[in-house]
Amino acid sequence: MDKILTIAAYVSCAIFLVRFVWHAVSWLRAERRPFTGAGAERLSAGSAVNALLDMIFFRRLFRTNRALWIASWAFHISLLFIALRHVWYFMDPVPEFIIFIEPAGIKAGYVLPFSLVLLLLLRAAAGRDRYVSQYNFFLIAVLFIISVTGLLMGILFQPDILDVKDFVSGILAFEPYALPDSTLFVVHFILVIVLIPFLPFHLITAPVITMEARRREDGLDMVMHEK
Amino acid sequence: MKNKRPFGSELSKVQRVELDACTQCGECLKVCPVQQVTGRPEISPPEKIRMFRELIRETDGLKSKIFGEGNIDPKLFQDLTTALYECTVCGACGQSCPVGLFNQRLWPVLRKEMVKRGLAPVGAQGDMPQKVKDTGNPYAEPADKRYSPWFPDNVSVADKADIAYYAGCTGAYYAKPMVRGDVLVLNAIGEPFTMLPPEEEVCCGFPLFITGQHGLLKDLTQRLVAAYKARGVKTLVCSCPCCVNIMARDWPVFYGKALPFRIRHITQFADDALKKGKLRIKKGLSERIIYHDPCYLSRGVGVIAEPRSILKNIPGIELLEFDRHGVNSRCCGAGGAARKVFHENAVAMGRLTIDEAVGKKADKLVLSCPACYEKVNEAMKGHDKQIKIVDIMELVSELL
Repeated sequence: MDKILTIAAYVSCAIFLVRFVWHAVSWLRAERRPFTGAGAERLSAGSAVNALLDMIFFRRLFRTNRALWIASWAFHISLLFIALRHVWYFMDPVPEFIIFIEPAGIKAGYVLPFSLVLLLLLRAAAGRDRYVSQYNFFLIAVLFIISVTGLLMGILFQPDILDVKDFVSGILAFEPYALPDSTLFVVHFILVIVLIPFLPFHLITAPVITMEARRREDGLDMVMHEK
Repeated sequence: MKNKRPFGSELSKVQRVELDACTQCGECLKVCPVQQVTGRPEISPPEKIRMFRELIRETDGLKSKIFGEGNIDPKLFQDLTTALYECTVCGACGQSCPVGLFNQRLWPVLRKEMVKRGLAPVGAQGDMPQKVKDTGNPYAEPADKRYSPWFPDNVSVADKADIAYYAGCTGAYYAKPMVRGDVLVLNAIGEPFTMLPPEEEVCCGFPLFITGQHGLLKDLTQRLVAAYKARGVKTLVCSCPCCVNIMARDWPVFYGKALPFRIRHITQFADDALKKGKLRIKKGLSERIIYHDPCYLSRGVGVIAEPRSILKNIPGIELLEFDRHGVNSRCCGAGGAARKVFHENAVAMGRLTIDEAVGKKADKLVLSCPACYEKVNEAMKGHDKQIKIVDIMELVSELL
């Protein structure tokens, strides 16, 4: 089991990397067509600051749907803190920054499952759940189980933290180590390696497009108001 | 269907990234006018993107490269073509997109991809390139009827001038009071202006661009730009939002360099003249009027303040706003060259505009787009709610 899961982890990451590289190549291979439009050619300093705020605080979503914004922002920010907190299990010594955000990471562990439930409820309540793809449902379902198992391990059924760290560090160092003796951990870990190949690329591309949208919208006035 | 060109070849780098950036959240459905009148999720923006992604995967994905391109279900092509062409390309989806996709530009490029593969356009749209080639306009109307039915007798046009007026095909043939109003206002401003002879004032290319049929665009642009350049034009004025959109955004690309003149919408030109005292609105109007922002004028090129500024210059007028206005305006149904094929949708959308204007107790619905003018007037026929529709320059010309 130890070896199977270790190999599965490598395969999972490899699939994601191949997917990512393939997509990145397709983005780079696309023709550099002339931008059809006058207006701002580059991002001004003011627009750059606004673009950054758009990306961090999902301000475009805030404008269109406040309830969804709360759920979505809570989900993303808690996932970020949880992901950062997990660095604890990979690094020795643990960086100061990770120790600093540890309390926030623990609180984020409570927020994440609730934000996912809220996301699903909002979709259902809006009557537009038909428009949510099966893929999105799959991601939310897997993330929910991962978050619940993670939370349970944090507050009720704690595995031996040293065993966990040894196992995860062993994978990173290509020196497989014994699987911790915790069913919850095994479920949690299996679902993470199931999730990784399916991670959506909008995690990477959406911030780029949000920045592009800010540049375009701030430059709209220059399309036909140039001197 | 097999084709050596993978799907997505027509997309720019940013558009390729845009396709992957859609989170399929469905927020755009709340503002999509086609969704409002059809309620069919299969023709919604996220569905278009999902289907297009699927076709890219089938033709350019890792699996297809290793195992070869499989047989793509013809229904997928059919569904995507319908979804792309039933859309009015108004761009409201992109405006409300939490990520910020530029759909007003993405949809025409996806349409171009379908045309390149022989899967589109649909219906009468397919005849447009030939009609433009034969007659200079997408309606196959005769050139000698382009100006004569509406051009005011007492207005003269210079051979050469700094200012030129482009009437546009839809205005000249289907929104005559509108283009007549344009010319009367230009005349009242008092600066000499020129126009091309009717047989030289060919299509600006927008109907071909928006339906994905790009073959003639370079030729049309170069002919028109050369003709205006020869007349010494420094400012080209036009009242059609679609024309000014392609002129400002795409003509420089098809021309190969910056245009030798600037493009102005008639409302920009008239507002500037009002501010400089060259134009004066003498008569008042004690009415409640509501102004509809055309998608390609507001979201498209950012002309939002000038029409309002002009209307506020009319003594006695009370200016109302639609709930969705400015860059967030709702399509009247005339956009995307879909109105000729999906007529019922277009009429239903036009009636939503009429209903809201009537609901707000407006006396007049003011438009500034010939396609809106034609379609909303058509939607009024047989409708239980009625309102007087007027073009902004038609209105101003009556008050000079």
